[in-house]
Amino acid sequence: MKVLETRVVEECLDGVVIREVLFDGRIGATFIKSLEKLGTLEYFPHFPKPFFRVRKSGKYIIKGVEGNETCQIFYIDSSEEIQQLIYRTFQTV
Amino acid sequence: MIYFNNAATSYPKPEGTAAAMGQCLALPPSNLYREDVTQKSVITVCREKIAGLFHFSDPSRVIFCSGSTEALNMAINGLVRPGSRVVTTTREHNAVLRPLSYLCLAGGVHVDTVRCPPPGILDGRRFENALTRETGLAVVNHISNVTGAEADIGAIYSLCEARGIPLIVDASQSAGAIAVDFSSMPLAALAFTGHKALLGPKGVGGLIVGRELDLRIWKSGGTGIRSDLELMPDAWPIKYEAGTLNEPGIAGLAHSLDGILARGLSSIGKQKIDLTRHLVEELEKFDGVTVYSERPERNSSGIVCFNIDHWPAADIGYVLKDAFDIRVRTGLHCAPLMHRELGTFPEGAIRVSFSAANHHGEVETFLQALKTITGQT
Repeated sequence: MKVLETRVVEECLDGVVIREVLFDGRIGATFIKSLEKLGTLEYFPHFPKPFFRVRKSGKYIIKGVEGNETCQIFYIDSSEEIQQLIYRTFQTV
Repeated sequence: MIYFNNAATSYPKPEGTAAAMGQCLALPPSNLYREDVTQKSVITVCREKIAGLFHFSDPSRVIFCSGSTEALNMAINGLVRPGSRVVTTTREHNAVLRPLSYLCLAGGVHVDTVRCPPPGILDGRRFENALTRETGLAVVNHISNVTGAEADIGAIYSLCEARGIPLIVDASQSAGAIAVDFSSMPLAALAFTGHKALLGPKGVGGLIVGRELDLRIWKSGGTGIRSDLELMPDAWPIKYEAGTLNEPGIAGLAHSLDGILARGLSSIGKQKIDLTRHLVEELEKFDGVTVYSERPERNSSGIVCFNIDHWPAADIGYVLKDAFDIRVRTGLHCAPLMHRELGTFPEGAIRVSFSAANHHGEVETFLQALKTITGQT
């Protein structure tokens, strides 16, 4: 999916950069499954709106809800290289 | 939507509050300090109601501003003596910690911070031990915005009063939640905000300054009267209210106060204690849940703080909002030292905070959501 926009989210968390990503469509199950390439995927399909998160130790956590047009990325390492890797993976689905 | 984030800002506001603000905007603007003697402005009326709420005899010493943060900045900067020591606690919000840090950075002020072990207990003896001959000011949070723990302000006041130390109380969470009686405890200053338990709109709050105390002017500017003077006019409250007051916000707050005063603080407090007891008793049945907040029977502010093993607080907040349409607040709650005391720094915790508009059915729905998330039935 194409990333249309990103914005920094304000949270009372220290040392972590949080970005919200806006896609050009709704997040579906296929997209969520594809995120396995980025780290350990956890998927909770039994929630009223299925929740997912992807963890890459020491680097980032991606989390979102199926059906939404946005997800959040918690960057522990917010280097340009990491950000580009994530955005490239998003766009391959 | 279920709203459990009332310690951040209350929602919904009482019926009629928005209308009171709209009515204020629709009327021709008033000039506060030149008001018609036959008709009080809404600002004067609200000042009197605030004074009444805190059993304070002089409404002219109720200064309006944007909220607790501005009020605390005004009080701290207005009362601190260069070269002195300031005593505060680990329970404080950044609205106190950061102004004090800036004073330290500028030099000439030393801050002594009293440790408050979980759930944020301010022990009188520890506080007393921190007071020295150089202590020129004390700043204490009445109710912790993280745990709901209440400080024994009467005892803290007595310790300060015996040593001639002015005491500033941050009543951000307690104003509208529990009774504060200024007549039996003439504090140096008390900061309040309108948009939390007082159920008013954002952008209005204030500072009550004890009798026979003057603050150094921290904010100066236009007043609409005595424009010939080089400095602020020497009259209360105008000398501390430079600029334009948030009159629609004050009108909304005045309306919200009527509802609180009509129902009574003890009735509101009892409902929050009941909701808190319900939630905490059920949370304690979960595996892997740690509750950090004050015990329900002592928790009139309705604040419950907890964590769930294997689930970062931020993830719980996100899932509750996006998958279950329930609003709570996660993170450090602008009180980093309190979270260090709880052992929850830097990730923080999940905070549920009730208002009198919440009910037990919502608590049940919330518990069901947590069961779904944690896989516990």
